[in-house]
Order: sequence, then C-alpha cells, then structure tokens
Amino acid sequence: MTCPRMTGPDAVTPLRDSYAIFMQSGASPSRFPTRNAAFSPGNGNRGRKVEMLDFMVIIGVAAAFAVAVGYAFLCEGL
Amino acid sequence: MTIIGWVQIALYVALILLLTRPFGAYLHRVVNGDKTFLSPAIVPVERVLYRAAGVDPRQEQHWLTYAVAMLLFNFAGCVLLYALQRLQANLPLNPQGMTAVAPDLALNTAISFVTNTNWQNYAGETTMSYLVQMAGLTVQNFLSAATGIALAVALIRGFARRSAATIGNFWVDVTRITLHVLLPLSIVIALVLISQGIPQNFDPSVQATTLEGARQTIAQGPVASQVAIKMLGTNGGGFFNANAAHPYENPTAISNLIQMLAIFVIGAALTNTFGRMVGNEKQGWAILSAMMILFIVGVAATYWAEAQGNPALTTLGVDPSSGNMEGKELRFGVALSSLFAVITTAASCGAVNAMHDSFMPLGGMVPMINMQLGEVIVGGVGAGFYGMLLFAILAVFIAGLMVGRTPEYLGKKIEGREVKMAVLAILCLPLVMLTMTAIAVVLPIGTASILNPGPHGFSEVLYAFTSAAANNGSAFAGLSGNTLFYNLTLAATMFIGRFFMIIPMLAIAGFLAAKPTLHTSQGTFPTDGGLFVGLLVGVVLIVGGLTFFPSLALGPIVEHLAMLAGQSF
Repeated sequence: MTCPRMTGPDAVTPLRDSYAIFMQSGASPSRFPTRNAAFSPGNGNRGRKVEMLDFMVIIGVAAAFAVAVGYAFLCEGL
Repeated sequence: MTIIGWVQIALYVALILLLTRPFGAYLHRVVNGDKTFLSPAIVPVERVLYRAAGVDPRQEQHWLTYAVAMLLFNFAGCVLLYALQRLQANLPLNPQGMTAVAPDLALNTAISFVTNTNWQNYAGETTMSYLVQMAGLTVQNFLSAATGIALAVALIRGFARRSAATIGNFWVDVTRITLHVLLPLSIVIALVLISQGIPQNFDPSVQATTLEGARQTIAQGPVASQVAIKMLGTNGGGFFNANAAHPYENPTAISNLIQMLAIFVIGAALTNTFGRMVGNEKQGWAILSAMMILFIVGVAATYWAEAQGNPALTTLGVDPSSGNMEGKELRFGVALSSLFAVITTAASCGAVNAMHDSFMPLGGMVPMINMQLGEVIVGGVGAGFYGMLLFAILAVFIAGLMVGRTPEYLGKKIEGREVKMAVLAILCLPLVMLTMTAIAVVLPIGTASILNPGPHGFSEVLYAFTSAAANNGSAFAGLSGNTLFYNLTLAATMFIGRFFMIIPMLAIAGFLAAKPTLHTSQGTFPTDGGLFVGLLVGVVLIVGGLTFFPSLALGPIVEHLAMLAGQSF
C-alpha cells in the first residue's frame, strides 16, 4: 500500500497542495522537504468575489431544506 | 500487539464506564430543566436569550414543529457559514490574508459543519481565516452537536411520555445543552489542552529554520478552543490539515487521552440519561453494553491488523515487530492509533491521529464498517444513540415476529408506523452511500480524483461517501476531494445522511409520545437483559453485514487477499 502523500499522481506533476501542507504541517518534518509556497492561499481560495452564483447556491440550499420539510410532512401522513 | 497496548485500551474503556453515570445524571438534570450547580451563573443568560429570541420556554412542540424548527435553525447556520467563507477577505481576524473560499468548497464546508460531519476538502491553515475558524466553524461545532443531543433527547421523551402531544421545545433544548453542557466542558478541556502545548492565539504563521537548514512555516492560531469542541461535539474538523496527528493539535499522550475521552463521554452518558428518563437505568446499561461489545470487537480487530504489519515489507527485511507504522505518529504508536481510529468512527467524530488511508486493508475496513453500521457504537453526540434506538425498535419487532406477539419497547407498542419510520431512517444511509459510490466509480469525473489504483482506490471512494453519509468526516485521504464533482456530491450525501435520517426518527418520537404506556406482563420481552443485548448486536451486524458485504469485498477484502499474494496498491 503506497501512501499517496509521498508521491504525486506521476513523476512530473508536483505534489498537490494538501499533501505538501501535510508534510509541512509538522507531522513528520524530518522525512519530507518543505515548501514555503504551499502556505500561500491554496486552491481552496479560488473564488475572488461575491457573485450571482452565491445567491443561486443559497437558493439551492433553501430548496434542499424545503424538500426536507416536505419529507417531514410526508412522514406524518404515512 | 503488546501488553501495554491492551492496558491502554482497557484503561480507556474503564474511564468511559466510570464517567457514564455522573455525566448521565448531569445531562438528565439539564434536559429536564432541573437546577444544576451551574444554574446560578447560566440561567440568567438563558432567560436573556429566550427573551431576545421571543421563545417561550414553557411552550412545547409537536414533533413536526420541532423538526421544522430544527431545519430552519440549520438552514440559517448553513447560509451564515457560507457567507462567512465567501466574505472572509473583507472581514477581520485574517492575518494571513486569505481570499474568499471557492463557492463549491464553501458550500461543501457549510453543509459539512452544519450536519456535524466536518468533512474537510481544504487545509484549515491555508484556507480559512481565524474569524471563519472561530465564528463559523467552531460555532457550528457547538450548534450541530447541541442539535444532535436535542434530537436524541426528543426521541427519549417519545418513549418516556404517555399520551403526550409534544416532545419538547427545540430552542430550549439546544440552548440548555449548549450553555449547560458543551460550553463549560469545552472551556475546561481547552484549558487542559493549552497546558499540553496546544496554541490559542491570534498570531500569524511564523518562519523557522529546521535542523537541516530548511525554512519551515509553522501555522498557529486559536487552536485549543476549536479542538476542545471538535472532540466533545464529535465534529472532528481539524484546525490543521493533519488533524489530531498534528503536534499542535494533539501534542502528548495526555492530550490524546483527553481527546479520546471527550469523543465518547457524552454519547456514553446519553445511555444513562435514557435509562433515567424511562425510569430504569438498566435499560441504558443494556444499550451501552451492546455498544461496548461492538466497540471492543472493532478495536481488537483493528489493533490485530495494524500490529501484523505489511508482509510485503517484511520480505524486504523490515522488522515486523513494530507493526504497520506508515501514516502513524511515533508518539502514539500502533495501539493508540488503532484505538483512536475505532473511537472516531464508532462515534461520528472523524478526527484522526493517524492516516486511515495508510492502515492495513482490514485495519482500514473496521472504521468503514463502524460508519456503515450508522455509527451506533456510542455514536456522535445524540446521533449514535438515536441510531441505536432505531435498531432497538427493529430488534423488538423481530423478537415480536418470532413469538407472534405485537412488539413492545419500554411499554410502548411498536406498530406499523414506527417500523416504517425506522426502516426509512436505517435504509437512508446505505442507499445514499452505495448509490453515490457507484456513480463516482463509473464516471471519469469521479475516478479522476483517485490516486491509488485497484481496490484501494475503490475503498477511498467508498470511504468518502460512507463518511459523508454517516456524518463522520474522516477520510481515506488519497482521494482528491476538492473538485466540483466531489464538493457537490459529498455535500448532497451529508445533507441526506443527516436530515433524511433525523426526520423519520423524530416522527417515531412523536408517534410514541402519543401512545399510552403498557404495563409489563409475563409475555413482555425484557429489554434490559443479556438476551436483548445479544439480539440487538445481532440485528446491527446482520443488517450492516448484508448491506455492505459486497462493497467491502470489492475494496478492503480483495486488497487484503492481494496483499497476502504479494501485491500492494
């Protein structure tokens, strides 16, 4: 079993951010090289500004909760 | 396996059993609205909160009202947490200058923390500002945990009440549990963790030069406060990416023990609270016995698997006596890593002090089974307990079928409506786990995130959806989860796994509360003895075994057989 944190997807592709961070965060610092660059905002911070998509996400979440409320009434009726 | 390893495991079990009764008694007083030693300080705050929110604490709710209140509360939490992440660049307490979290990741994280899952497709130290970590994630750690306990208490009231139309008041339950239980305990635990070396500050990351001369960035921040509630509330979301394996999140054997105790203490105590509320503490001990049997078997199996080590490495000349140490911290070793892994997946915590992806195939299978059974072994705060009560309903139903008598549990007749709801709640988890896994492993967009080939890659996907549906949050982290596909599918899985299980469970509470309590007779099946415990364990294992064996055969079981034949993945 190979621990994926020790290898990239292939020999060329660099380690993905999260794995580099794992190494850097001190779990086994002596075994791994460290990369300061990994501490700049990672690929989780892709969204730069609030946009229409955010309102659509919130409407989607509201719809999901509305379905759950409907499910509750359905259960009462069963 | 070593004697000291077993002593550590036995000590942990003994401490949990020791804490169950006093904590159960305290919880009982809190959820009953009785006076506790903290009441003089907390009750005035409680009154102010009710007045500000316009809540009448004496007014109880029908189960539907209770459910809608819970859903509204969680919806508000979800929107607030999403907004905090998207706006973090414009908000204070952001010394690292984190920009907005991407919409799909923000959605995944919001659903994750609101549902008490804490699945993290991000690294905390490089993605979230301190404000989001504290006012967003930590706050949800409290509120989602309080929601889980409130729901368990509502179900217990269903059993305990006679011909009642209500099951409590959601707002009062959440407020009292947060103020009287979670907050004080978290403060005490956070202070103990700080004494062990866990940081609690607002300072930015610092630069250090290692012994090898390399420059290393060391992240810090308000860690101890988040770790305390993440364990106590069985949330599990780490401040750091490496979670409880990180030396700043879990530096010593003492911090490790405190964190493991914190995961189980409320879940175990709830069994005693249950016994007290239904007027027979032995009922609670029976449920806890069933949980502990399953727990000890799981710990033994994981410890055995991890202590064996990888035979492929042994053939290369690696000393097998220290077991499988890949992905484990030297300060915890095989025994405490195995114990932690089983605790965190028996409960719906999801914190990890070792990398489950690096466990031996069978060692990694046990945490997966724990989650697939619905985390009914002590379980998440509240969630595991109501999951186990659902299985108890199934168990007495099966017992009733065997003797040809209408099943009863705690003096309540278990009829068609309750069994329908129990089946809906129990089937919800495997349905969403297996369907989502199947979709992910046939779509290229799903398989593109798998970093290990063969059965281990399949296990990574199965583990992810199992963990999400069971609201656990731990991961076989070889899967790259921060993609649009996984952010959305895992968010949907967490949502369904949480709320579509809770709603039928609350319906059962409402249905049972409305029924009269029957007197026990000679024909009543006793549910506080060994026979019931055995039946309950059997039902849990048979339902879980039948449902998940095929998927486990494709993942960890075939991986184990391949390993014995000399092939690793």
